[in-house]
Amino acid sequence: MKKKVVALTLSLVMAASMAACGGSSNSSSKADSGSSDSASASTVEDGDLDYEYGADTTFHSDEPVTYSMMFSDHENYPMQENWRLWSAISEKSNVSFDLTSVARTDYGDKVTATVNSGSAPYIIPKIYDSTPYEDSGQVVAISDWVQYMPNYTKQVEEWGMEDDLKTIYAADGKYYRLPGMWEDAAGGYSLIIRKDIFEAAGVDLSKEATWTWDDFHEALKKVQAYTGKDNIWSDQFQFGCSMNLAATTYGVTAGNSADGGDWGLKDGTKFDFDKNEFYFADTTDEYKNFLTLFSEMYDEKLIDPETFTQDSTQAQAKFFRGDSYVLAANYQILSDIEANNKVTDEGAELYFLTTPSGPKGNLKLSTAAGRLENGIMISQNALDELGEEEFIKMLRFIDWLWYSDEGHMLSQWGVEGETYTLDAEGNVVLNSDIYYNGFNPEATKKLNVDYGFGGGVFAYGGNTQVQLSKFTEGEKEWNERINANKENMELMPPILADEMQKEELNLIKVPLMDYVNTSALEFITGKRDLSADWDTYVKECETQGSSNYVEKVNEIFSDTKDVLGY
Amino acid sequence: MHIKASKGYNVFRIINTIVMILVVFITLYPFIYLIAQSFSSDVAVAAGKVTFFPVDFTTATYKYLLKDNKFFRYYGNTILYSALGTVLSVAFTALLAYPLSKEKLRLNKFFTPFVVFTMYFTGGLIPNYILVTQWLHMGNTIWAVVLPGAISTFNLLLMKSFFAGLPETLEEAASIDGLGVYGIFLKIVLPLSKPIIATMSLFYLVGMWNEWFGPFLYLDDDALKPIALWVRQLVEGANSVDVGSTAEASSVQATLKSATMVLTSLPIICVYPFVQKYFVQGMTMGAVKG
Repeated sequence: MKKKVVALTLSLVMAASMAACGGSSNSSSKADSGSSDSASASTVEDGDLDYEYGADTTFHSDEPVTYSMMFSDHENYPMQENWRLWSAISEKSNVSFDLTSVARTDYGDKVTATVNSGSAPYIIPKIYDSTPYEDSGQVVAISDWVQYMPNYTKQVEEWGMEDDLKTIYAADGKYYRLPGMWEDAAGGYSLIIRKDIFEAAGVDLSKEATWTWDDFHEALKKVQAYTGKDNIWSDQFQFGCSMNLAATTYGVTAGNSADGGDWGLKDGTKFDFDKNEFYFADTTDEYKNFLTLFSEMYDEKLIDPETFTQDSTQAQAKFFRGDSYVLAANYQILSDIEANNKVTDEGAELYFLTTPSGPKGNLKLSTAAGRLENGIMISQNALDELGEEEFIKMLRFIDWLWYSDEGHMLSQWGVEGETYTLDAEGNVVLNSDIYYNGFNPEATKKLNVDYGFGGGVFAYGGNTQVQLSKFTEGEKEWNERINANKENMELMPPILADEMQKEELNLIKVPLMDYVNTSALEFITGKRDLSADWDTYVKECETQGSSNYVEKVNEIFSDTKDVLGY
Repeated sequence: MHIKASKGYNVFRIINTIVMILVVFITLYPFIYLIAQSFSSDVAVAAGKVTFFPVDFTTATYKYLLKDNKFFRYYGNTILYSALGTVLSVAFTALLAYPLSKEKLRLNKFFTPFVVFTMYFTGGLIPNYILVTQWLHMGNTIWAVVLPGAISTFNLLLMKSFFAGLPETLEEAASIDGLGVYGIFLKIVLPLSKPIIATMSLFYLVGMWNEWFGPFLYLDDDALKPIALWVRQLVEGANSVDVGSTAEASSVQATLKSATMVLTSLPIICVYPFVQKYFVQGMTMGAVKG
C-alpha cells in the first residue's frame, strides 16, 4: 500500500513538472520567433518619432516613459530613491526607472532567477559575463540591434573596438550584452609598498616601472635584511590577485581565491599567435619558472605563510600596523586607505608600484582583457512587451545615457554648476564640499552616497578625457608611469563553444583547474618539490585531460575562424 | 542528610566546570568581539587592535546608525515580518499537525509521507520563483515573505508528536460533554499545548528574524526589505571583490558592520532568556513519541 502511494505521488509530481516544462518551452519558442520577425521588419521613419536622439544629441522623450531595470546595490553607497541622479536623468530625457534593487553580492542569483523565469526587467545592467544567459532565449542578441544606437556605433568605429567586441561573441557569432567601452585601458590591480621602508633599505624606486619580478624579489630581500623581519609580504585575496599579476607576465594562468574568485586562473590555456592555436600553459617551463619565483620567496620567508588562508581584512590589518610592507590592491582601495588614514604605523609612506615585468615583456596588464567593461543585457520581455518601435526608442535612451559623452559626464560627475564645474581648459572641478575617490578628502558629502553619481551601475567606460577626470593626481601619475613603460597585450580570441560544447569543456576544466591551483599552492609552500614532483604534476594534468581539453578548444576555434576573422 | 561527594565526582565537577567555561567563552566571544568593535574607532579596528575591549572608545558609530532612516525602515519591516510570520506559522503548523496526529484520520497513511516528502525534495529555485511571483502574484508583498516558508516540516513533526502524546481520554471526555472537533482543539488541546506553542514561536521567530533568502528573491522594492538582507549585504560585501578594472571593493567600516549586527541581534537576545526554558522542554516533549 505504502509503495503504491509513493508511486502515485511521484507520478503526480512528474506529470506536473512535465506540464510546467512544456509551458516554458512553448513560451520561449514564441519569444524566438518574435525576435526573428522583428529583426527582419523594416525600421520606422525618423520623422514620426515622439523623441529626439542622435550622436551627441540629448535623448528626450515627448511623453514621460518608465523602463524597468535591475539595480546592483553597492553597500558603500546604498541606493536612495531621492538621489539627484534619478531626477537629473528624467529632467534631461523624460525617462524614469522602475527599479529592482538587489545587493551586489547576490545580484547574479537574482538575475538568474528573473531571466530563467522569464520575468526579467527590461534593462539588466552590471553584467560581467552574459554566457550563462545566452541559451535561455530570454536575452536579446543585442548585436542585431546596435545599428539603431548612434553613439555606440560611433564609439566602436572611432576607437576601433571591433576586436575587443569579438571577445564577447557567443557561439552564434552574436553578442548578448552591450559592453561598457573605454577608449583606453587603464587601472587594475598592482602592489602597494611601504616607500619609507623600501627606501631606507636602500631600494632604488626610480626604476620601478622597468623592474622584473626578479628585481622585485631582490628588493624584498633588501627590505628583509634591513628590517630583520620575516613575512614582509602578507597579501590579501589569499594571494590569488598577486599570482595573477605575475602569471600574466610569465605567459601562464594562475590565481583563484575565496575572496574575489577567479583572478586569472581561467582554463589554463593561452593562444600562440604564431601557430594560431591554443596550448595548455600551466605545464610549460614558463609555468615552472613562475612557480619557482614564488616558492623561492616563500622559502626565504619573504611571503607570510598565512597569506594563503587569511581573510583580506587580516592581511590589511598587518599592513596597517606595519607588520608587513607589501599589499596587492587597486587604486580605489589605495585611495580608501589614504582618505581614512588607515595606516597606523608611524612615518608610513605608501607607494603604488606598477606591475613588474616577466619573460613575456613589460606588459600593461589592464589590456589583457581588452577595453571592455561590464555591460547591459536587454531582456526579451522588452522586445515582446514594447514592440519594435518602442524597443528601439529604449535602446536610443540607453545609447544616450551609457554611451554619449553627455551621458558619461552626467552619470560620473552629476549636474554642471550643481555638483561640479568646468575650468578654463575644460577639466572637471568637483565642488569642494563633495568627496569622490580621493578628491576633496576633507569634504563631508559624498558624490556616490549622497547624490548617486559616480556609481558602478552607470558610471563606467568612456573617452580618455572622462577617464582621466576620475583620477586624482596620484592615480594619473601611476597610469602615466604604466603607459610610458609598458606595452599593450594582444587579445586572445574567444572560444565560441555552443551549449553542449561548453558543458563538455566544463566537465574537464573544473577538476583539472582545481588540481592545477591546488598544486600551485603546494609547490609554492614547499609541500611538493618543484624538481622532484614536477613530472608527476605534468603527467597528472595530462590524466585530468589537459591535452584533450586543448584539442577540443582548437577544434572549436578552427570551426569558428571565419566568424572571428582569423 | 548530606552525602559526601566522592573524590572522582569532585574531579569530574572541576573538569566539567573548566570545559563548560571554555564552551561558554567560545560561544560568547563573537558577541564580545562585535560589541568591542562597535564601540571602537575605525582605525583601531582596521589595524586589528581590538580583541576584548573597545580601543579609542566612541559611540559615533551608533549615533550615525541611529540617524539613518533606512536602518529603521528595514528594522520595522523585520519586526512586522517576524510578528506576522510567527503568528501565521504557528497557527498553520498547529492546524496541520493536529489532524495528522490522529491515527484514525482517513488517508493519514498518505498525508504524513506526503508532508515528509517536502523535507527531502523541493521544486527548486526557479519553479518556486515562478509559482510565487507569476502564479500566486505575491511578488513584492509581505505574503511572499511569510507564506512560502510558513510551515516547517521539522517543526510540524515535533508538534504532531506532542499532540499525539496528549491523553486520548481527555478528548473523549470533552466529546461526551458535547464539544465538536474544533471545540476540542481550541478549548482542550491548545491550552494544554502552551509549551510546544512557545517552542514553536521561538523557532519561527528566530527563523523569520534571520530570514534573508525569501525577501531577497521575492521583494524588489527597497522599502520592503528586512534588516537581515542589509546585514548580509554588509558582511558578504566585505568578502567579495569584483575582478575588473573599475572594481569597487567594500569600504564600509568594520565598526558600522559590528554596530548593525549588535543592534540586529539585540531583540532576539533579549527575548531568548524568557522562552529558553520552553526550548529544551518542548524539544524533549516532542521527542517522547516519534
